[in-house]
This record gives sequence, C-alpha cells and structure tokens, in this order.
Amino acid sequence: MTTQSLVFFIIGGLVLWGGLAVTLIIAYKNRNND
Amino acid sequence: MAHKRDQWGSKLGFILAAVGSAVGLGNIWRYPYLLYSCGGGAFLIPYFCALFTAGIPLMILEFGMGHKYKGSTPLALARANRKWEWMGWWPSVNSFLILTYYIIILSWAVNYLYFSITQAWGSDTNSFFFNSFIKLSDSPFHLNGIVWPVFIGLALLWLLNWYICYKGVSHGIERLNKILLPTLVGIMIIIVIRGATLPGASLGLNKLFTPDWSKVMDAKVWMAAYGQVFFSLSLAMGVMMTYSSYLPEKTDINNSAFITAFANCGFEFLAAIGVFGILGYMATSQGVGIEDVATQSIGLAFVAFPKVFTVMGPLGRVFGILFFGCLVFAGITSTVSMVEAFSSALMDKTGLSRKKIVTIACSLGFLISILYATGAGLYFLDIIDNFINAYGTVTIGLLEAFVIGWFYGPGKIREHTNLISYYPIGRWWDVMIKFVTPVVLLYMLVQNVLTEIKQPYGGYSLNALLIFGWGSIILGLILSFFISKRPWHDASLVSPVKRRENA
Repeated sequence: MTTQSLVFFIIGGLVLWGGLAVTLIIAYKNRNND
Repeated sequence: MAHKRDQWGSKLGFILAAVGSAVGLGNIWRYPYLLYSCGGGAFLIPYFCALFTAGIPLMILEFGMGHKYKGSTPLALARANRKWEWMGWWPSVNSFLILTYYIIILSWAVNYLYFSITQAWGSDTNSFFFNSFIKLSDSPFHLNGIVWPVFIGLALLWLLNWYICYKGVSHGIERLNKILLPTLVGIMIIIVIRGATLPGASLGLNKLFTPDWSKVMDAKVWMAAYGQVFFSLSLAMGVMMTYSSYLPEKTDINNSAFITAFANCGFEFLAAIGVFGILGYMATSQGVGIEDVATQSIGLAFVAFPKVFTVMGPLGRVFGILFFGCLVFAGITSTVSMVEAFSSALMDKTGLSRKKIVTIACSLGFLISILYATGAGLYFLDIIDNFINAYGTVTIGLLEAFVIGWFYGPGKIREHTNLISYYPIGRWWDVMIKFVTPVVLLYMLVQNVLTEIKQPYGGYSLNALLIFGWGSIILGLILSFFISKRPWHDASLVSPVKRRENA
C-alpha cells in the first residue's frame, strides 16, 4: 500500500474501531450501574 | 387480552440485536463501492460528518423515544402525540414491505452458498445468474413462472424468521444475535486477512483509500454519505424504537447509540478492505484495472465475486462459502428485526399474542414474497426498493426529526436519556435534530424527486414505475392512515393518564 492510502486506512480505522473500543470500555466499566 | 411487554435478557443482547439489525447486505456490497467511487480516503470526511451530525443523533432519538414511551413505533409516537400514530405505522408497514423482497436476496445467497461447493455458476457468471438461476423475464409484466430453488430458499428463511420471532425477544432474537453476530464478524475477519494478503490486493486497497479531493466538493458525494449512514443504521424503519422499548428502566441509551453506530460503520469499513483486496487480486490476475472489476450490489455478490472464486480454484470454494455465509448471516439478523418491528406494532395495537401475530405476519409475508420468486422478481425488487428508500424512508426520517425537533421538543428526549445514561449529551444534539438532520433529509428528498422527474428510474416504463414504485409508497401511506384510525385494543394505552405513567 502507498503511504497516502495507508494514512487514510489508519484514520478510518482509528475513528471507527477506536470509537467502538472506547464506547465498549465505557459500557464495560459501568456495567454494574445498569 | 393485554400482553406483558418482553424484555432483553441483557444489555449486551440489546446491543448485539441493534447492531445485527443495522449490519446488513448494504454494509458488504454497497459501502465498499461507495468509498471507492466517492473519493476514496477523502470520502471519510463527508462520511464522518454524516455519522456525527445525523446518524448518531437520530439513533439517540429513536432509542430515546422507544425507551421513554415503552412501545413499538406507532405506540411510542401515539403516546407522544395521538395525532402522530400514523407516522409510526408508516415505517412499520414499510419495514414489512422491505422484508418481503429483502428475504429474496437472502434466498439467492442461500442458493449461492450451496453453489459454492461445486462452483455451479461456471465461467459465465453473468449469464448463469440472470438466465439460468433467476430466469429473468423481459419485462416486469411477464412473470415467467416461479423459480423453484428461490422459492425453497424463501420458504426456509420465512420459517426461520417465524421461529426466531415466535420464541420472543430474549429467547429468540437475542439468542440468534448472540450466535450469528460474533460468527459474522469472525468470518469477515478471516475474509479480510486472506483477501488483503492475496497477490495484487494492494492494488485494490490503494484504489480504495487514495483520496480524490475533487469529489469532496461535489454535493452528490455528501448526499451519498448521508444516505449510506442513514440507510445503513436501519433508521426510520421502526426497528430501533421497537428494540429500545424492550430495555429495562435503568439503562444507558446514549452510549448504546454510539456503540451501535460505531460497530455498524466499523464493520462496513472492514468489509471494504476485504472486498477491495479480493477485487485487486482479480484485476491483477486478469491484467485489467480496478475500474473494470469494481462493482456493487447484485453485480458484485452474484456476478463479480463468483468469477473471482472460480479464478481462485480450490481456495475459491472456501471463500465462496465464507462470503455467502456472511451475506446470509448479516441478512437474517436484519430480517428478524423487520419481522419484529411490524409484529410488535400489531401486538400493541390488537393485544393478540406474539405467537398469533408472528404467525399471521410471516404467512402473509411469505405469500407476498412469492411474487419476487418469479422471473420478474428482480424488476419488482429493484423498483420497489428504490421508491421505498428514496421517498418513503427519507420522508419518515424527515418527519421524525421535524416533529420531535419543532413540535415535541428535543430537550425532553435529551433530558430522558441523560437521566439514565453514563454520559450526558449536550445541546448540540438539539441543534442536529432541529436543523441539520431535517435540512439534509429534505435536500435529499427534493434531489430524489428532481432526478426522478428528469429521468424516470432505471429506464422502466411509466406504468411499471407508477404501479410498483409509487404504488408501494401510496399503499404504505394508506395502510398507515387506515390502521391508525382503528381503535387500540386497550384505549388506556394511549390515554393521557397512561401516557404520564409511561413518560
């Protein structure tokens, strides 16, 4: 992959998979409050 | 007879079911091509804007309404304002109409799953699909008889949907999603890892992610991004409100909406890598450019990919089984949610038992969908799908955001979800619901109408578009108004006293 396409792959992955990971961690940490 | 409202066994079950509903065929066969054709990496800008300004806000709105009013979409809206009941029936009826043709595509995928073992499609995959398999007739008005392999797949899928919804929310839908969704993600990861390491895969991935900044200035690309996010998240279909109505009193809404949206979009981003890795391999092995092999929808799943699987040899059989397995799993979790959205609304309205309603809904759905198992089925599917999505679903989303934003007051929903969520949402959400979402959806609707006037959809005859296209929209509206005028089995369900209790 070229550097340019790799950068956009990383940006997309960070926002979407990173966002998912953060929200899942929040849900897990607060699991006893539900 | 009043029935006790079902409830999810766990919050994980609810989230998996919501993600299962959102993740469907479009994530696998539409998004990859959209990303490639709408500017590659640059498309991520309008896509993320659409996700944060419309997708997630609308998801919070639907989760919030369903949870606050503890009812299927028509009941929730009727409890908010008695005059809005029809607006809840329209997505429920549309969901049912969509289900009758969506399940046909799953039947094709089930057949192709079987064909993958022997690669029965041969070398001319285009002719195999259109002529030998679905026996496409020459016009929407020539049925050409029933295609029996499609009919058999259809019967099996309806039976499965009936069984899952018959078993109820926690024992049926939740259990199904707890099995199918992790399996689906597992299979997709295998496809992505192998697909991205095939010779020539980097060609496809470079084409997929290399940004074309000129596209970002194009309004059509922005509309495509908003359309993808809106349709992909199963919004304005009655599903999310219904699913959240099965949540217990104390539960997190805001974070659940973020999880559902990120999981859905994260899955389609993953699928894009797998699909373009495989297309890159195909282009390299045939000595052609990506533009010659890149396609979407039915052309990708039932024509281009079978060709790639044939080129791959024995590995292609495994890939075929995995790919069509993915389509079937992603589709089933979505069809079940549509059966539930429609059935739940009827259960609330009539007070009849789940078992009776689900049996009636699935039997009726099966009978209607036989029409799509004929040689003209693809024409019906194509026309009705375009009209229901372009006009029906967009109008429903627009009405939802408009009445809540301008009449009901988004602050009431925000206060409700903030009270029970880990992290509160701010006033930015009100702005999105009041201004951004309605403006974008209205623009989308106007553009769709203008395009239709300039060039009638798909080159079909005016009669076909009027009868099947506009006919399905009018049918949905008439049914919605008609059902909303019928009394609730228990008038207190929507009475002011009961409303206060549920609010």
